[in-house]
Amino acid sequence: MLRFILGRLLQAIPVLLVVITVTFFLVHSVPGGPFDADRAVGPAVMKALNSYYRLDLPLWQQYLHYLGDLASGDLGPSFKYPGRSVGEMIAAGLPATAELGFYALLVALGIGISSGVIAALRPNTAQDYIPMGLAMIGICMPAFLLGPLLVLVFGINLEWVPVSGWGGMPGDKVLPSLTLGAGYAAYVARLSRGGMLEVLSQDYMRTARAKGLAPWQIVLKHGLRGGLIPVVAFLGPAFAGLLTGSFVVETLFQIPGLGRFYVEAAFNRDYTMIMGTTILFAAAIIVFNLAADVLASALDPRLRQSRGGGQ
Amino acid sequence: MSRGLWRDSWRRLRRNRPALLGAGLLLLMVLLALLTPWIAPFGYEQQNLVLGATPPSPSHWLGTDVLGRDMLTRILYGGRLSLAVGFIATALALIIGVTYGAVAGFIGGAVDALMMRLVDILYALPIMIFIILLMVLFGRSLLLLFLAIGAVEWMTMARIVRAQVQSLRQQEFVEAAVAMGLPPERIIARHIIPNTLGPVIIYATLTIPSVMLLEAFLSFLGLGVQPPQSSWGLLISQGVETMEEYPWLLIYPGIALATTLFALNFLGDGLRDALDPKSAKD
Amino acid sequence: MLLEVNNLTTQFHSRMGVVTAVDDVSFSLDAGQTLAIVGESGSGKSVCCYSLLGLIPQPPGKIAGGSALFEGRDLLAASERELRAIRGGDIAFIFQDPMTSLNPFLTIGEQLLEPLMRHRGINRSMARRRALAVLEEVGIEAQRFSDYPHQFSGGMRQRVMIAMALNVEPKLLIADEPTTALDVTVQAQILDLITSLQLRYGIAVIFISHDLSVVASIADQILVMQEGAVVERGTVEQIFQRPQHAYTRQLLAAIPQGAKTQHRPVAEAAEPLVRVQNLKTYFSAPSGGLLSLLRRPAEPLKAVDGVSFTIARGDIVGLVGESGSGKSTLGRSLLRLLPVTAGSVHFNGLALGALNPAALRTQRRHMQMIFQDPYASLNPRMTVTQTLAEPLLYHALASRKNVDKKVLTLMDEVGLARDSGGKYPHEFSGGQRQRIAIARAIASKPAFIVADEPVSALDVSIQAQILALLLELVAAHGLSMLFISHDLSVVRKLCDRVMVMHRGKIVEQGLTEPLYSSPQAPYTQALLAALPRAPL
Repeated sequence: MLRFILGRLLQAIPVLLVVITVTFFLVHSVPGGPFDADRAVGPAVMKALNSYYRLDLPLWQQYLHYLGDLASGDLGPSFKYPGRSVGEMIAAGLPATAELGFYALLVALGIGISSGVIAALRPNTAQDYIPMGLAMIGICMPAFLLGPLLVLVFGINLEWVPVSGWGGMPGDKVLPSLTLGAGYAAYVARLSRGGMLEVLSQDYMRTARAKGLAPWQIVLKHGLRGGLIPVVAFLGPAFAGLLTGSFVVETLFQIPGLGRFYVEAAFNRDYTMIMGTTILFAAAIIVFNLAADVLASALDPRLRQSRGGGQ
Repeated sequence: MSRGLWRDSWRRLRRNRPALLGAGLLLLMVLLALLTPWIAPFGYEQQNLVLGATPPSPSHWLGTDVLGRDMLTRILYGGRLSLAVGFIATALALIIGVTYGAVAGFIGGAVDALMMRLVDILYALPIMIFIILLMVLFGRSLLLLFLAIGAVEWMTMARIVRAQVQSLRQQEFVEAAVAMGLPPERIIARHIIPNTLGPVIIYATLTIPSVMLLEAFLSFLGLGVQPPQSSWGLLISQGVETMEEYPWLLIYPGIALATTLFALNFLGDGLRDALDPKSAKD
Repeated sequence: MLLEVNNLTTQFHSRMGVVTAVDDVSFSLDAGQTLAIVGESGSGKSVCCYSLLGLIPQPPGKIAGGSALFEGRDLLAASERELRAIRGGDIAFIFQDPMTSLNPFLTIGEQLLEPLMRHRGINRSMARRRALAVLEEVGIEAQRFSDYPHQFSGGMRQRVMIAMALNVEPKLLIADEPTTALDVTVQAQILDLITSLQLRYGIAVIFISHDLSVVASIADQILVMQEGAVVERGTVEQIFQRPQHAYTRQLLAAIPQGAKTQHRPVAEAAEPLVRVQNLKTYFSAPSGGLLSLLRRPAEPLKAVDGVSFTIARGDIVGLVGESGSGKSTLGRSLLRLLPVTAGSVHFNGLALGALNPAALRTQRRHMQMIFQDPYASLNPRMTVTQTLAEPLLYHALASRKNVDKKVLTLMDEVGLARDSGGKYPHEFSGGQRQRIAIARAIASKPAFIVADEPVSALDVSIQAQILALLLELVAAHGLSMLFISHDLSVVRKLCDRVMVMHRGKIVEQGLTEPLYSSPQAPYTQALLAALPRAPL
């Protein structure tokens, strides 16, 4: 297991390098510097700025400088907000995004798995049709549609929960988390239902029944592990999706998180900020994918490195 | 060429009411989109600043927006673009993905390993982030939008086709074709492709809504379609801005998008159930 | 009387109507006795036993009548809760396929403990001790307690299932085709194990099987079932020596007995049709990512490890071996359906390895293959006529004008109804599909056919028909054949010469009868000793 994790981390390094390089050259290949659109600055100030941000050096030198800084943990100063460093801005925005992602994942897995499993246990009944119908709605309603609708209904008309901010007022985390998590809850529900149905028809479930075990024991102990495999496989892409989804949700609900910073940075051509957040996101996706794979082999012993079992 | 199994699948599909509903709705949407230039009640650009934003009324069935433009017209034209992006980008992803996957799956060995490695690496990259960057930095052309979306979707199609082709290659009837002395082109044409069509059709039907969502997402962020053109995504984002005062500007485009997505998903699900070879063995 | 079943009837309701899977079946069993229920697929032998304990899915299924008295209590009238107390406790099950019947996600130890704790009310540590003791009894080392099912071989997994069933010391064991998926030698061991445990604990056993010869050595009573009903019952001696019902006689006749009757004069003279020299087919182990580059590459799998033999014109040569012996790989390597690692194959004097791809393809029409799985060997999207026309048209043996007629001739030859040409494979039974596959193989008028376990997936009575067909065709067309099988009795009936394969090498080869009566190699001896003997 340890070898597996080490191997994957090793593989991750070249991938990250590719991400950094591509992003760097992509960002710098666009005509026009970050300061062109700003207020008219005099040539002297321009020169000073360019020198401060190393924009007067040839591109490859800038690249190498950046890598060097990166190795020592320095993500550079923000272009848009000269007084602040990218590192500190990321640190400011990360907690909100991480929390939002966590709650959304909780919503997705909690609602998704429970409704999916129940639907599989009572196929073709109301307990199947209703959750799966709702799941279909969840898939067809993107976050940027669902969010505003939820805001309209629960925030503005019914005034049950606040509609913006994060952590400022009680209950303001509800709508954003629901909005972000709903779509994924829908996918997870369908996946768990499919996975459980597949498992329930397996021979080993018949063996469990033939042993006289109680029904709940059969479902939970024997069925769940196999039934959740498609959900675990989905975790990797789900995480990546939650990340991009946070762009929209944070914008909609005015949450000061990394997602919103990233979109703003992209529009503002804040090179270092773009680089910093992209690297963070890429690293996060890689780590999460690895965690999902580890979880998969924890669930399914056949995926683990065999210790020479006979065949 | 092979009517029996297709006829069985068609029969099963016909019995699936949600899928039929989906097919019907989809047909309706496509028809409306195609006929838009003739059936739209007002001009696309026609503003009526005096009127401003009004709720639905007999003269404007779905209301008007802030500039007095008829919402029904805008939604119709928006649908044209959204559906066009959906179908065209999917077709693009299909062509690239199917070819890539079929080649990798059939040739196998080192070629396959290399090709799939490439896909794995691409998968690990935060593609969405790159796309957003691309769109922001390089201006917002429709062509770029198609390419960007196609770039995201082809990989999953390639994986599915490759898996299908690989499993087919190991089937004994393909071995029998080889043993008969048939050349590879013939084997692919007569034995492999007909058996791959099923999953490809299913996945293509399910890719279209995925693509439409992607376009809507980008447009919502201001990166996709640009005014004066409009797509459902753009209409929704404009609707969000004024949703408290003029909720109909958000609701109707939203319904249009959601309904089309529903239709496609139901149809795709129905196709999946109908074409499932396991249920063919009864 | 431990178990007394009276007039059991089980039906399945579907959109297509009602199917009576078990039709008025009655039997009884005493403690310590063994009852064998024999029948082919669809006979209802399994459904009948599952019905006793409510193991059939009840929405489509329904127990329409009868009673099943177990120690005086009617199981069919019992509640689900009462049944749950008996299942796995007083009545235990062993199923056919140990690979799919064990939960792959739990250790075998955990699965062993479950019935013990559930039915005997003992705590975990006591249960563990008992489970370990039972594992030892079935021949599995104690340290494998925390291993997972996929880490065991087929035979070992079945031992685990036996341990799981017997560790609670049930009164009745229902074994549903427990050895069908196992190799011959392993089958013998498992049968021994079951009988010895049965003697030790005084358990009654219901043994379900499709193979009469297997149950001959262990049954006190035999029940023969066909299409849901019991057609005959009796002791082993009565069934085998004085069968009454036509179906019983048909089953008995289908058991391959004795030596090959028609012998073809084997012309030694000319160059053999097929000459194989030192053939090797190795499979390299799959790569394990970046880190595996740092380790030494793993040993390749030597599926075929230096095999040499010849096949003369008109010969039928049998290739026997158990699973993993490499016999299928050898068949495919012969026809170059797999890349060969070393060695040579000469067909009709031509070295196959020296041919370029196009030339090889031209040669292919002379050497064909019949596959094991009748479901997978036909293109599901082509009709029978299309499947059979393909080789005829491609090899220019027929023109578009007369191809339909030639297809009909082929269909006649293999015994397919003339009007079934427009149908698709899924509309046929297994035996009929195999006929189509055979027709396809002989269509291009080959000189040599490799038949890879062509009847293993078929019911016993169908097997006999297909084997007879093969013999006819070989005689009619002057074919040579390599007949691959794990079934020694079938090979004996069909083949002039036999080769025995074990772990990639041919350990013995020679004329059939001498080899069967006095095998030289120890492995051959073990194989023959493990054969279930039918007292015919």
